Amino acid sequence: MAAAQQGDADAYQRLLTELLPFVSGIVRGRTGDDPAAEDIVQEVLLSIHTARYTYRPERPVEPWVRTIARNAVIDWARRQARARGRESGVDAADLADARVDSPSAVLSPGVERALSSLPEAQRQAVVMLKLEGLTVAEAAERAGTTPGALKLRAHRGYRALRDVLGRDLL
Amino acid sequence: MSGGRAEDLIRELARDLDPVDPIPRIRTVVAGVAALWFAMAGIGLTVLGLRPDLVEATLQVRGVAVVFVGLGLAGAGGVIAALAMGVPGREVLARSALAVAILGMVIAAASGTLLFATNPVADARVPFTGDLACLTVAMLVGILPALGVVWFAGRTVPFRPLILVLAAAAGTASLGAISAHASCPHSEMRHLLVAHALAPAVGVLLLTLPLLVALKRFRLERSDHR
Repeated sequence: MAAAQQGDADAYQRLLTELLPFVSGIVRGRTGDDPAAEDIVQEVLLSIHTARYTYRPERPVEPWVRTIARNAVIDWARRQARARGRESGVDAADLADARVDSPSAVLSPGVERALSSLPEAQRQAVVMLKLEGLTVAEAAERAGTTPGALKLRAHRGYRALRDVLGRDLL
Repeated sequence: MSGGRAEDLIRELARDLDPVDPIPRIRTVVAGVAALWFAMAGIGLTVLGLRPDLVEATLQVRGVAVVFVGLGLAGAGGVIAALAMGVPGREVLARSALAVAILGMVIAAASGTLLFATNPVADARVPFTGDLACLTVAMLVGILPALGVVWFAGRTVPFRPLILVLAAAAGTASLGAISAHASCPHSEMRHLLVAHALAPAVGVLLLTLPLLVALKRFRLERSDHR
């Protein structure tokens, strides 16, 4: 991990590959056979990536990873509970109506220009999640990728948009 | 098993890798927060002056010293808990420090209440402005260390930001209350309870919201730099 913090991509890839069974074990230990387990494992990998600067090289890596994995599972459970709460109170037709058919119809020219300056994969991820209101799973399926990879694309897209537009717009 | 999809993501994350600086050690940040506290307490004492009979006033009645032992535990525990809470893998430290902080607050409040209940109110009762002055000093001395704690927390990944901020507010207000005591001229037990022993609770009431806003801002700044 210390090598990864210094930018060693090979060491990082090896580390994440070695950690994958450990992470899967933690996630499956808490979610059982839930089909979402694979998505949560990817969220954990993404969280490890975005939080890698919080690791101190003199400390063992496993407790650090375990906490990140456990928090990801708890986050997932909370989202599930919230989604169940929303679904129980909202008609499916209302949900469909709420989605925007044409994103450009609601965007100012400046935002549209900023969006169009993004690489296609990032633009698509931002549009699907923020404008069309798709869930990460739905958007990933439509883009033909994994939820984790889609989140990473959206994350990069938000960063790029924030640079162009200023953070207040997001 | 997660199989190919996870491995695709791993490859993508490795491609996205930039070098990062690890966060400082918690003990280094604790030393920094302590330095901020000493600096603020020093400014306070320079402006208000040290109480001449501080040692006698603190040790004469045993319960008074216990109040300040409680505040010390609440201060150290609250600060360390808040700093450790956002660092993955440091939950044991965070939980232990939080337990110490809660114990310290209980000791301070219980001793203060007991002293108030067992000592008759003096004729020269401290006015409300006297209580307010000590609480203000406690909050002013505590605010900069509190911002230091929250600044560090903004560089971590706090899972429960509200608890983190509550610990920071109570801890730094306790440290502020200890400083306020050093210049406080009053020995009345009601004043000791309201303006010193209960300062952590007042800190929670006054500092939680501003610290939550500050934490959000520090986290936003941090995410802009990533």
